[in-house]
Amino acid sequence: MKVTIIEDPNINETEISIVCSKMTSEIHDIVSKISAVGLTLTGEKEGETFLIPIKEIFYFESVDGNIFFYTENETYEATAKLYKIEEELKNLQFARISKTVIANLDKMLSIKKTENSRLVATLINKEKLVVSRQYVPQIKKKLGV
Amino acid sequence: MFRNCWRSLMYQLGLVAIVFIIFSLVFHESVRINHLYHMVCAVIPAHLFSFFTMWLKLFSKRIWIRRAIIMAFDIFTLYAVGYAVGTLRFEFDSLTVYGIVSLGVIIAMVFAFYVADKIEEQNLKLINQKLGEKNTSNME
Repeated sequence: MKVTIIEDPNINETEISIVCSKMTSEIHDIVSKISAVGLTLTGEKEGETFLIPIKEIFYFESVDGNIFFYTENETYEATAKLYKIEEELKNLQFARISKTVIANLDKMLSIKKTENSRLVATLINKEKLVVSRQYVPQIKKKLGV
Repeated sequence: MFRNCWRSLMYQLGLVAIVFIIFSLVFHESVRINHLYHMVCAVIPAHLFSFFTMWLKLFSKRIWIRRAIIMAFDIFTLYAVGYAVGTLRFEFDSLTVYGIVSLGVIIAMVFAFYVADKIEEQNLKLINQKLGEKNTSNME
Protein backbone atom coordinates (compact mmCIF):
# COMPACT_ATOMS: atom_id res chain seq x y z
CA MET A 1 0.00 0.00 0.00
CA LYS A 2 1.31 3.42 -0.96
CA VAL A 3 0.92 6.25 1.57
CA THR A 4 1.30 9.85 0.41
CA ILE A 5 1.25 12.83 2.77
CA ILE A 6 1.07 16.31 1.26
CA GLU A 7 1.82 19.21 3.58
CA ASP A 8 0.20 22.50 2.59
CA PRO A 9 0.04 25.40 5.10
CA ASN A 10 -2.89 26.97 3.17
CA ILE A 11 -5.28 24.07 3.91
CA ASN A 12 -7.67 24.70 6.83
CA GLU A 13 -9.15 21.23 7.23
CA THR A 14 -7.16 18.00 6.94
CA GLU A 15 -8.52 15.72 4.25
CA ILE A 16 -7.77 12.04 3.73
CA SER A 17 -8.46 10.46 0.34
CA ILE A 18 -8.17 6.77 -0.38
CA VAL A 19 -7.64 5.76 -3.99
CA CYS A 20 -8.42 2.10 -4.65
CA SER A 21 -9.68 -0.18 -7.39
CA LYS A 22 -12.31 -1.79 -5.16
CA MET A 23 -13.73 -1.24 -1.69
CA THR A 24 -12.44 -4.15 0.39
CA SER A 25 -12.93 -5.06 4.04
CA GLU A 26 -9.35 -3.94 4.68
CA ILE A 27 -10.10 -0.45 3.35
CA HIS A 28 -13.34 -0.38 5.32
CA ASP A 29 -11.29 -1.20 8.42
CA ILE A 30 -8.85 1.65 7.65
CA VAL A 31 -11.73 4.11 7.13
CA SER A 32 -13.33 3.17 10.44
CA LYS A 33 -9.99 3.48 12.25
CA ILE A 34 -9.36 6.93 10.76
CA SER A 35 -12.92 8.01 11.55
CA ALA A 36 -12.45 6.99 15.19
CA VAL A 37 -9.34 9.15 15.64
CA GLY A 38 -10.13 12.01 17.97
CA LEU A 39 -13.77 10.99 18.38
CA THR A 40 -14.99 11.17 21.93
CA LEU A 41 -18.20 10.48 23.78
CA THR A 42 -19.55 12.22 26.85
CA GLY A 43 -20.12 9.96 29.81
CA GLU A 44 -21.23 10.64 33.33
CA LYS A 45 -19.91 8.98 36.45
CA GLU A 46 -20.65 9.91 40.05
CA GLY A 47 -21.94 13.35 38.99
CA GLU A 48 -18.86 14.17 36.92
CA THR A 49 -18.74 14.39 33.14
CA PHE A 50 -15.91 12.77 31.20
CA LEU A 51 -14.87 12.77 27.55
CA ILE A 52 -13.99 9.20 26.61
CA PRO A 53 -12.22 8.34 23.33
CA ILE A 54 -14.49 6.08 21.27
CA LYS A 55 -11.72 3.54 20.62
CA GLU A 56 -11.46 2.87 24.37
CA ILE A 57 -15.10 1.84 24.65
CA PHE A 58 -15.72 -1.92 24.80
CA TYR A 59 -19.50 -1.88 24.56
CA PHE A 60 -22.72 0.04 25.16
CA GLU A 61 -25.57 -1.48 27.09
CA SER A 62 -29.13 -0.43 27.76
CA VAL A 63 -30.26 -1.28 31.29
CA ASP A 64 -33.80 -0.31 32.32
CA GLY A 65 -33.87 2.52 29.78
CA ASN A 66 -30.48 3.92 30.83
CA ILE A 67 -27.48 3.62 28.55
CA PHE A 68 -24.13 2.64 30.02
CA PHE A 69 -20.83 2.20 28.28
CA TYR A 70 -17.87 0.24 29.47
CA THR A 71 -14.15 0.80 29.04
CA GLU A 72 -11.55 -1.67 30.27
CA ASN A 73 -12.00 -0.77 33.93
CA GLU A 74 -14.72 1.88 34.14
CA THR A 75 -18.45 2.24 33.55
CA TYR A 76 -20.05 5.50 32.43
CA GLU A 77 -23.61 6.53 31.76
CA ALA A 78 -24.35 7.99 28.33
CA THR A 79 -26.95 10.65 27.74
CA ALA A 80 -27.92 9.58 24.21
CA LYS A 81 -30.30 6.75 23.34
CA LEU A 82 -28.92 3.44 22.05
CA TYR A 83 -30.35 3.84 18.54
CA LYS A 84 -28.82 7.35 18.29
CA ILE A 85 -25.44 5.97 19.36
CA GLU A 86 -25.79 3.17 16.82
CA GLU A 87 -26.50 5.73 14.12
CA GLU A 88 -23.49 7.84 15.09
CA LEU A 89 -21.19 4.82 15.17
CA LYS A 90 -22.39 3.30 11.91
CA ASN A 91 -19.10 4.00 10.11
CA LEU A 92 -16.99 2.65 12.95
CA GLN A 93 -16.27 -0.89 14.04
CA PHE A 94 -19.26 -1.03 16.38
CA ALA A 95 -22.10 -3.44 15.78
CA ARG A 96 -25.32 -4.21 17.56
CA ILE A 97 -25.03 -7.72 18.92
CA SER A 98 -28.33 -7.91 20.78
CA LYS A 99 -31.37 -5.76 21.45
CA THR A 100 -29.60 -4.03 24.35
CA VAL A 101 -25.89 -4.14 23.43
CA ILE A 102 -23.65 -2.46 20.85
CA ALA A 103 -20.14 -3.88 20.94
CA ASN A 104 -16.78 -2.69 19.66
CA LEU A 105 -15.61 -5.32 17.19
CA ASP A 106 -12.02 -4.17 17.67
CA LYS A 107 -12.27 -5.35 21.27
CA MET A 108 -13.83 -8.69 20.42
CA LEU A 109 -11.83 -11.91 20.52
CA SER A 110 -14.33 -14.47 19.31
CA ILE A 111 -17.95 -15.58 19.06
CA LYS A 112 -18.71 -19.11 20.16
CA LYS A 113 -21.73 -21.29 20.63
CA THR A 114 -22.39 -22.33 24.23
CA GLU A 115 -23.78 -25.61 25.48
CA ASN A 116 -27.32 -24.27 25.60
CA SER A 117 -26.97 -23.22 21.96
CA ARG A 118 -26.55 -19.50 22.65
CA LEU A 119 -23.95 -17.38 20.90
CA VAL A 120 -21.51 -15.68 23.24
CA ALA A 121 -18.88 -13.10 22.32
CA THR A 122 -15.67 -12.92 24.32
CA LEU A 123 -14.00 -9.52 24.60
CA ILE A 124 -10.28 -8.94 25.04
CA ASN A 125 -10.80 -8.34 28.77
CA LYS A 126 -12.41 -11.85 28.91
CA GLU A 127 -15.85 -10.38 29.48
CA LYS A 128 -18.65 -12.36 27.81
CA LEU A 129 -21.68 -10.91 26.00
CA VAL A 130 -24.68 -12.74 24.59
CA VAL A 131 -25.09 -12.36 20.81
CA SER A 132 -28.56 -12.61 19.26
CA ARG A 133 -28.69 -14.69 16.10
CA GLN A 134 -30.70 -12.01 14.30
CA TYR A 135 -27.72 -9.61 14.51
CA VAL A 136 -25.14 -12.06 13.10
CA PRO A 137 -25.67 -10.85 9.49
CA GLN A 138 -24.94 -7.25 10.64
CA ILE A 139 -21.76 -8.38 12.40
CA LYS A 140 -20.70 -10.25 9.26
CA LYS A 141 -21.35 -7.15 7.15
CA LYS A 142 -19.33 -4.95 9.52
CA LEU A 143 -16.43 -7.38 9.43
CA GLY A 144 -16.63 -7.63 5.65
CA VAL A 145 -17.24 -11.39 5.68
CA MET B 1 -31.55 -20.89 32.86
CA PHE B 2 -34.67 -21.52 34.99
CA ARG B 3 -35.92 -18.02 34.28
CA ASN B 4 -35.43 -18.52 30.51
CA CYS B 5 -37.20 -21.86 30.66
CA TRP B 6 -40.13 -20.34 32.55
CA ARG B 7 -40.36 -17.42 30.12
CA SER B 8 -40.22 -19.73 27.11
CA LEU B 9 -42.98 -21.93 28.63
CA MET B 10 -45.16 -18.84 29.11
CA TYR B 11 -44.56 -17.83 25.47
CA GLN B 12 -45.55 -21.30 24.27
CA LEU B 13 -48.71 -21.33 26.38
CA GLY B 14 -49.53 -17.86 25.05
CA LEU B 15 -49.02 -19.15 21.52
CA VAL B 16 -51.28 -22.13 22.24
CA ALA B 17 -53.97 -19.77 23.52
CA ILE B 18 -53.73 -17.59 20.38
CA VAL B 19 -53.85 -20.65 18.07
CA PHE B 20 -56.86 -21.96 19.99
CA ILE B 21 -58.70 -18.64 19.72
CA ILE B 22 -58.01 -18.42 15.97
CA PHE B 23 -59.09 -22.05 15.42
CA SER B 24 -62.22 -21.66 17.50
CA LEU B 25 -63.16 -18.56 15.51
CA VAL B 26 -62.55 -20.23 12.14
CA PHE B 27 -63.81 -23.76 12.95
CA HIS B 28 -66.30 -22.88 15.70
CA GLU B 29 -68.44 -25.92 14.82
CA SER B 30 -65.80 -28.52 15.50
CA VAL B 31 -63.39 -26.98 18.04
CA ARG B 32 -64.07 -27.94 21.65
CA ILE B 33 -62.44 -26.99 24.95
CA ASN B 34 -60.87 -30.49 24.97
CA HIS B 35 -58.56 -29.34 22.18
CA LEU B 36 -57.18 -26.54 24.35
CA TYR B 37 -56.75 -28.97 27.23
CA HIS B 38 -54.96 -31.32 24.84
CA MET B 39 -52.53 -28.65 23.59
CA VAL B 40 -51.73 -27.29 27.07
CA CYS B 41 -51.20 -30.81 28.47
CA ALA B 42 -48.89 -31.63 25.56
CA VAL B 43 -46.83 -28.43 25.80
CA ILE B 44 -45.89 -28.79 29.48
CA PRO B 45 -44.23 -32.28 29.41
CA ALA B 46 -42.61 -31.51 26.03
CA HIS B 47 -41.21 -28.30 27.45
CA LEU B 48 -39.94 -30.00 30.62
CA PHE B 49 -38.27 -32.67 28.49
CA SER B 50 -36.63 -29.98 26.38
CA PHE B 51 -35.43 -28.24 29.55
CA PHE B 52 -33.92 -31.43 30.99
CA THR B 53 -32.03 -32.19 27.78
CA MET B 54 -30.54 -28.72 28.04
CA TRP B 55 -29.83 -29.06 31.76
CA LEU B 56 -28.12 -32.43 31.27
CA LYS B 57 -26.16 -30.88 28.38
CA LEU B 58 -27.30 -33.75 26.19
CA PHE B 59 -25.66 -33.61 22.76
CA SER B 60 -24.32 -30.13 23.47
CA LYS B 61 -21.85 -30.46 20.60
CA ARG B 62 -24.51 -31.73 18.18
CA ILE B 63 -27.47 -29.47 18.84
CA TRP B 64 -29.41 -30.82 15.87
CA ILE B 65 -29.51 -34.31 17.44
CA ARG B 66 -30.91 -32.78 20.64
CA ARG B 67 -33.52 -30.92 18.62
CA ALA B 68 -34.47 -34.11 16.78
CA ILE B 69 -34.99 -35.96 20.08
CA ILE B 70 -37.04 -33.06 21.45
CA MET B 71 -39.18 -32.92 18.33
CA ALA B 72 -39.80 -36.66 18.35
CA PHE B 73 -40.81 -36.37 22.01
CA ASP B 74 -43.03 -33.33 21.21
CA ILE B 75 -44.93 -35.21 18.53
CA PHE B 76 -45.16 -38.32 20.71
CA THR B 77 -46.58 -36.23 23.60
CA LEU B 78 -49.01 -34.46 21.30
CA TYR B 79 -50.45 -37.79 20.14
CA ALA B 80 -50.27 -39.53 23.51
CA VAL B 81 -52.03 -36.66 25.30
CA GLY B 82 -54.54 -36.33 22.45
CA TYR B 83 -55.33 -40.00 22.79
CA ALA B 84 -55.65 -39.80 26.60
CA VAL B 85 -57.80 -36.67 26.54
CA GLY B 86 -59.96 -38.06 23.77
CA THR B 87 -59.36 -35.46 21.08
CA LEU B 88 -57.57 -38.02 18.94
CA ARG B 89 -58.90 -41.54 18.35
CA PHE B 90 -56.71 -43.74 16.20
CA GLU B 91 -57.63 -46.79 14.26
CA PHE B 92 -54.69 -48.93 13.19
CA ASP B 93 -54.64 -47.46 9.67
CA SER B 94 -54.82 -43.84 10.77
CA LEU B 95 -52.11 -44.55 13.38
CA THR B 96 -49.83 -45.81 10.62
CA VAL B 97 -50.56 -42.71 8.55
CA TYR B 98 -49.89 -40.44 11.53
CA GLY B 99 -46.68 -42.34 12.24
CA ILE B 100 -45.41 -42.03 8.68
CA VAL B 101 -46.35 -38.34 8.46
CA SER B 102 -44.71 -37.61 11.83
CA LEU B 103 -41.58 -39.47 10.83
CA GLY B 104 -41.48 -37.50 7.57
CA VAL B 105 -41.90 -34.21 9.44
CA ILE B 106 -39.18 -35.18 11.93
CA ILE B 107 -36.74 -36.18 9.19
CA ALA B 108 -37.40 -32.96 7.25
CA MET B 109 -37.03 -30.78 10.34
CA VAL B 110 -33.88 -32.57 11.52
CA PHE B 111 -32.36 -32.12 8.10
CA ALA B 112 -33.28 -28.41 8.20
CA PHE B 113 -31.74 -28.06 11.68
CA TYR B 114 -28.63 -29.92 10.55
CA VAL B 115 -28.19 -27.63 7.53
CA ALA B 116 -28.87 -24.51 9.64
CA ASP B 117 -26.29 -25.68 12.21
CA LYS B 118 -23.68 -26.27 9.52
CA ILE B 119 -24.32 -22.82 7.99
CA GLU B 120 -24.04 -21.22 11.41
CA GLU B 121 -20.80 -23.08 12.14
CA GLN B 122 -19.41 -21.85 8.83
CA ASN B 123 -20.48 -18.27 9.60
CA LEU B 124 -18.91 -18.38 13.06
CA LYS B 125 -15.72 -19.77 11.59
CA LEU B 126 -15.52 -16.88 9.11
CA ILE B 127 -16.34 -14.29 11.81
CA ASN B 128 -13.72 -15.70 14.19
CA GLN B 129 -11.16 -15.81 11.41
CA LYS B 130 -11.83 -12.14 10.68
CA LEU B 131 -11.72 -11.22 14.39
CA GLY B 132 -8.43 -13.10 14.68
CA GLU B 133 -6.95 -11.14 11.77
CA LYS B 134 -8.22 -7.91 13.31
CA ASN B 135 -6.65 -8.69 16.68
CA THR B 136 -3.34 -9.59 15.09
CA SER B 137 -3.26 -6.31 13.13
CA ASN B 138 -4.25 -4.36 16.27
CA MET B 139 -1.36 -5.94 18.21
CA GLU B 140 1.06 -5.11 15.41
